[in-house]
Amino acid sequence: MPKNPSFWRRITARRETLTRYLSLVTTVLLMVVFGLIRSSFLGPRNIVNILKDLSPVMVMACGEAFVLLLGSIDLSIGAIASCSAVLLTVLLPVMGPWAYAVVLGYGVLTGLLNGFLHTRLGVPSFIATLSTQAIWQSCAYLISGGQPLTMLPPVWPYVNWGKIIFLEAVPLLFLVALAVLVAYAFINRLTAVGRVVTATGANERAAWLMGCNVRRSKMLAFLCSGLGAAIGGILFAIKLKSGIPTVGTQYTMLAIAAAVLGGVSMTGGKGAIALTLLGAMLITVIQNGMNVIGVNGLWQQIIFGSLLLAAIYLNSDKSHKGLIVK
Amino acid sequence: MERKRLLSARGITKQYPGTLALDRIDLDIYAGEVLGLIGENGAGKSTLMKILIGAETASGGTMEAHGQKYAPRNPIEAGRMGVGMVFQEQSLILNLTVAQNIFIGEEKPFVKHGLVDRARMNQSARKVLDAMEMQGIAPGARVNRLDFASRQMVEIAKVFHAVSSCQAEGTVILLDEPTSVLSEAEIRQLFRHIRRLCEGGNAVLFVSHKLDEVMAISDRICVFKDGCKAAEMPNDNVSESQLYQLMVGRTASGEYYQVQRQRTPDAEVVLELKSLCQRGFFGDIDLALHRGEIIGICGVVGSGKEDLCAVVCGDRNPTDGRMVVRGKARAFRGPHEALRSGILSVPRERRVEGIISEMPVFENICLSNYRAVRRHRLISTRMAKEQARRFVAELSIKVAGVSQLLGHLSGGNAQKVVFARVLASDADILLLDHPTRGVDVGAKAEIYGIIRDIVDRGKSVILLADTLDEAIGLSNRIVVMKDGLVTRVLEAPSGHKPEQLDIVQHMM
Repeated sequence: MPKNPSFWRRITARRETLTRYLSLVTTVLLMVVFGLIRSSFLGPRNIVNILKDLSPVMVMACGEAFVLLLGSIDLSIGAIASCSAVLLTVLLPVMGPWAYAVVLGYGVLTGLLNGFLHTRLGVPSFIATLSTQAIWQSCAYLISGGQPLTMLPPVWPYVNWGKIIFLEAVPLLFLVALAVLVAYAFINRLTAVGRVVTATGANERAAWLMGCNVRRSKMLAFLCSGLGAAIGGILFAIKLKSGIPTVGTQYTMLAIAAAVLGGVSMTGGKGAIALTLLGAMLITVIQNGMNVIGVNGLWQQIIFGSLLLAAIYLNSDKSHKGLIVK
Repeated sequence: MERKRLLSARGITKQYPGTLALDRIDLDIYAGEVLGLIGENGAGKSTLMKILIGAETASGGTMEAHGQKYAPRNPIEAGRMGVGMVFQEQSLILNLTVAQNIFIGEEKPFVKHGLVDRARMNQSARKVLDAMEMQGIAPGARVNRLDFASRQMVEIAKVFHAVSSCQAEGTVILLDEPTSVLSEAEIRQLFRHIRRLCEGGNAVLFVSHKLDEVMAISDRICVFKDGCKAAEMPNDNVSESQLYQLMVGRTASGEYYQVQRQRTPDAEVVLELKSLCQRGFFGDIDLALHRGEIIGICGVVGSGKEDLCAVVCGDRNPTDGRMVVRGKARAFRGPHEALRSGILSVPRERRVEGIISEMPVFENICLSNYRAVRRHRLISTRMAKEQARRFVAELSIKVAGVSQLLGHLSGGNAQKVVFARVLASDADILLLDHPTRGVDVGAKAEIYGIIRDIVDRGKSVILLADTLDEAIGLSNRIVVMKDGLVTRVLEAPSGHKPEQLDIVQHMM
C-alpha cells in the first residue's frame, strides 16, 4: 500500500491537519494497544496515575514551549523543578503554606535571571540556561544535603490536597496543571506581549522595527518557563511527598520533546501552547504503559527512545516552509 | 527559415489555493534568441520560471524540450534536458573559489588519491570562463573577493557549464532579474555575454522589472498580466509606454506622482532634529518636519541618509544632538519607544524587516498597534480580522482572505499590507525607506496614492525614495546629503519642481 504514489500524495496533501492531531491519534492508538495487552491500563486507578504523572511534565512543557516559540531554548527547567521540590519540602515545616508563595517567587526569579542573561547581556539562551541549570542543580543538592528529603506528618495537611480526586478519575493536581496550560495559552494568544513572542520567533528584526517590545516579550517567555518549572517542581513534591534533588533532571528534555510533539517549531514562531497537552500526554502514556504491561526495566529506555523518535519523525514539519529566504 | 525550437510550453496552468497564478500559457523559445519576459509583480513570471526549471509542477499543460517530452521534477532533471536558471538571489558559496563553485558537486573527475587536485580544477575552470570570454576572472579567487557583477558572471558560467555538459546542442538559460545588483557598466558587460551565448545557438529567457533593459536586450518580448499572456511581439518599434500599457492595462501619465494632490504643509512643527549626530555616519543635522509635509532625503549610498533614518526611528542611538517631537525632547531606546511618540518606519528590506511571512495578513496588520483590536484588554481575533478586511478593501490588497499567510503574497501586495499596518498604528510621523522597492509599476502608483492619503490625514512623512524622480515628484522639500552632511535644501512646491540636475550636483 505505501508503494502506491497516490496514497502518499493524499497523505502529504493533508499533512497540515494530520500533523496537528497526530499526537492525539498516536496516543489513542497506544492506549488501545496497552489496554488490549492489559485491561487494567484503562481502569480508573491507572487513569488517575497517568494524569498525575502527566501534570508536572505538562506544566514544564508549556513553559518551555514559550521559550521555544521565541526560537530560544531553556535547559534549566529540570534543575529549577528539582530545586523547587527541595525548597518546598524544606520550607513547609518552617513557614506553612507561605512556602508555596516563596517557591513560586523563586521560579519567577530564575526565569527573570535567564531572561536577563539572554536579553541584556546577550548570552545565547543555550549557554545561559546551561549555566544556570548547573547552578540550580548544585543548589538543590546543597539545600537537601545531597539526599532525598521526606515530608513528615506535621506538614501533610498542607499537601494532602494533592490526593483529591474528582469523579474517581480526575485528580486535582491535573486540574491545577490544566489551569496553568490554559493561562499560558491565553497569554500567548490573547495578549499583545504574548503575540509578540510568536512574532519575535518568526522574524525578530521585523518585530523590532514594527515597534514591538521584543525585550519585554523575551523576558515574559523566560519568566513563564521558570515559573512553569517551579510549579512542576511543586507538583513533583506533592505527588511524592518528598523533595528529591534530582527529580526534575530528566524532564528538561522530555518537556522539550512534549512541546515539539505538540507542534511547536524549535526554530521559533510556529506552534500553539495548548497543543503541548497532546505531546505531554503521548510521552506519559508511553512511559506509564510500559510499566503497566511490564516491560523489562532495562529495556524501557530503548523502547521509549524508539517510540519517541517515531512520533517526532511523524510530527515534525520537514517542509522547511518557515525558513526566511534571504 | 524555420528556426530550431529549443523549448515549448502548451497550456501551462498553475492553480494555488485561492489564486490562479497561470492561466493556459503557451510559450516557445527558439535557438539564438533572447526572449524578454515582463509583467507586474504577481503576474505569474516567477511561477512560470519555477515550472520551467522544475522547482514547481504545473497543474495542467505540457512542455517539450528539443522535441522530447519535458516534465522536470527538480532543477537537476531540468539541467539534463538543457535548461538552467540563474536565480534572483545569488547562490554562490562565498568562501569557496570560483573554480570550486563552478564544479560544485562534480569534483569526481579531479580527484587524485582521494584528494581534489586544485590545480587541474582551476585549469578546467579557466577553460569554462574563457569560453564565455570572462578572462578577467581568476578561477582561484574566492568569490567573496569579487564584485557583484563578476559574481553574477560566475553564476551564469556555472549554470551554463552544468547545462551544456549535459546537453551539447542549444541550451536554455533562465535569468531572473539578473541586473538588480549591477551598475550600468556591469549591465552592458552582462548584455555582451548574453549576446555571445545566443550567437552560439543557445537561448536566454530574460526576466526584469526594468522595461528599458528588456527592450535593449530582447529579440522578442512577452507581456504577462494577471497570469495570462497579454501580448507577444518582436522587439521592433515598441515603445516603453506601449509596454507599460499592456502590463497594467492603463497608460502611464505625467500625473504619476499625483502632484496635483500635493498640499501645503501646516505651520506646526512635529519633529525637529537639532544638530543630530551619529559619529562615523552623519553629523550636525538640523531639520524641521511640519504637519502634512513630505521631506525627501536624497544622497548616494554612504551619504548617511539610511543611518539618519535608523536613528530617527529608534533603531540606533545618536551620539550627539537632540530630537524634539511635538515640543518635547525625546531619546529612544528602541523602535517601540519611538512608536509611542508616533514615529514608525516602513523599512527597506520588506521580507526581512517589514513583514512576518509566517503570520496571516490580519495579524501582520495589527502588530504595530494591538490596542486597536483589544476588548477588555484582550486581543479579539474577530476585531483584528474586521480591521484587516477594512484595510484590504481600502487599499485594494489582493488576498485570498485575511487569514492567508503574508509570505504567499506578491511584493506589491505585501507592501500594501505593510502600509495597512502603519496606518493602523496611528503613528503620525512616518519614515518611508524605499517604499516602492521591488514593487511593480501598477502597485507603485497605488502606493503613491496611499502616501498622498496619509499626508491628507495630517500625518508627516520623511521619504528615502527609490529614484530621484520619485523624491522630486512626491516631496514638498528635498534635503540633499553628502558624506553625512546636509549640502542643500530645495523647496519643491507643485508647479515648481526642481530638476534632477539641481539635486545631483549637490550629491556628488
